[in-house]
Amino acid sequence: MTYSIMKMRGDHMDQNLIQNLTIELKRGTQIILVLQTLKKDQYGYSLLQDLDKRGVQMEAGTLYPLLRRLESQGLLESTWDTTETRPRKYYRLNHEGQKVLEAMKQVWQEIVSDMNAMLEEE
Amino acid sequence: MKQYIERYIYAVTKRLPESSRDEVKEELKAHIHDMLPKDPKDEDIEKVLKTLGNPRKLANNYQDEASYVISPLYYHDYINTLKLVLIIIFSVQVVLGTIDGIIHLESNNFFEQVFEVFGSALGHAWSGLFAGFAWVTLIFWIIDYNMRKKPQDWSIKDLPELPQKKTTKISRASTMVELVFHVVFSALFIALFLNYLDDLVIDIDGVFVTEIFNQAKVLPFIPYFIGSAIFGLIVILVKLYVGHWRYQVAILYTAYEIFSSSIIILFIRTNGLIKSSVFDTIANYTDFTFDQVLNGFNSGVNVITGIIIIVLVLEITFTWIKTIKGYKKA
Repeated sequence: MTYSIMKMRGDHMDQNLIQNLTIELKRGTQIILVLQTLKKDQYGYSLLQDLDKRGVQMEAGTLYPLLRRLESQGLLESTWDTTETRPRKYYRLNHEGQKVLEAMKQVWQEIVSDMNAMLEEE
Repeated sequence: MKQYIERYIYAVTKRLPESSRDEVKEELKAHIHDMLPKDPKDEDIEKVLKTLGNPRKLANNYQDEASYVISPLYYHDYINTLKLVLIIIFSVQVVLGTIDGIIHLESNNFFEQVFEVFGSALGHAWSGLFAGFAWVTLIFWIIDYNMRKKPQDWSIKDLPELPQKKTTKISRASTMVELVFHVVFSALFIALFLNYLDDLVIDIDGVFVTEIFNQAKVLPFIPYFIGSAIFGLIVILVKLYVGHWRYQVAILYTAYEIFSSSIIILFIRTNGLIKSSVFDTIANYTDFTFDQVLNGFNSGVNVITGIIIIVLVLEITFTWIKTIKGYKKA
């Protein structure tokens, strides 16, 4: 999940174009990683840091609305923890979310093997 | 007033549907405070809010589906319809405004009347354009809103016909300027000869000397002037509607140019159009004799006739060059 590929390519390549295509390509994969990271209880910022540690650079302004969407789609459970001075909202994958994550992992494996097969042909 | 966090959250939630505002507010508050150090300073708050990004954009991220007045799917249909409707409204309103202006003239001064008529034409056009914009937008908004929820079914029979060959474009903007000037000036010209012929006189020191035009010679031309003005208006509307120099348009335009130029030439060359007393008066007040003044006037008329013919020939030639070039390119 680094931009090493970009660095390997010559400087003459349009860095901007590659960067945009990379962002496009990663966009769909991010949600799988978010689901994966939500196997344990997380609050918004801890999730963001966790993702960052794994090299997933996701903007806070994208992640927080995404959490809300996943919750309304019925994939997440949430609880407000009010024991601390500041209330915190914890999210966790529910049963439905785990099923979706497993299915997405399957899809991802298929994409990877299909893509590899196609790209190795030449 | 600081309260940056509260204001930031408000800037986001005010752009969300009411049902989700309270929840998003609580969530965002928690997220933001998690991102802040203990006892945050203004700089810390600014940094965190900047990380979250423009509140307008964040609010948009919170929306499940994009909201539009006119969605991208209908945008081009909307713009094309808008253009067509506005052009038609503009044309009609300029004509109506000119007629209205002439009927309700208030000033007695000719130049003020020109302004009145121009003002009326442009005023009508302006308000018409706004109304047209509002209606087209409203109708498209309703269509778009209803169609967004339905699956976009289509059949191959509904595909549009292929457009005809592309020929040289006629500039819409300059044709519309032409329309305004044509309508206003034809109307004024005709109104001048119909109503104010008696006022076109030579006064010397406030004493009436003579009328300039011979009424009996002018009046027979009025129907032709009106005919020419209407012909010209039709040609301009055709140019606006077709938008390209097709052969039919060029033929119509050529016919109009020849017709209107012929009328003007016949008009200025009419014997006795200007009363001989006008020449008398000029001869009396200058060193020239009556014959010299008359000859001078006649050669002036000849020069003007020549200029009209030259302009006519150039105009027609250029039009046909444009037209034929367009067909060759296509």
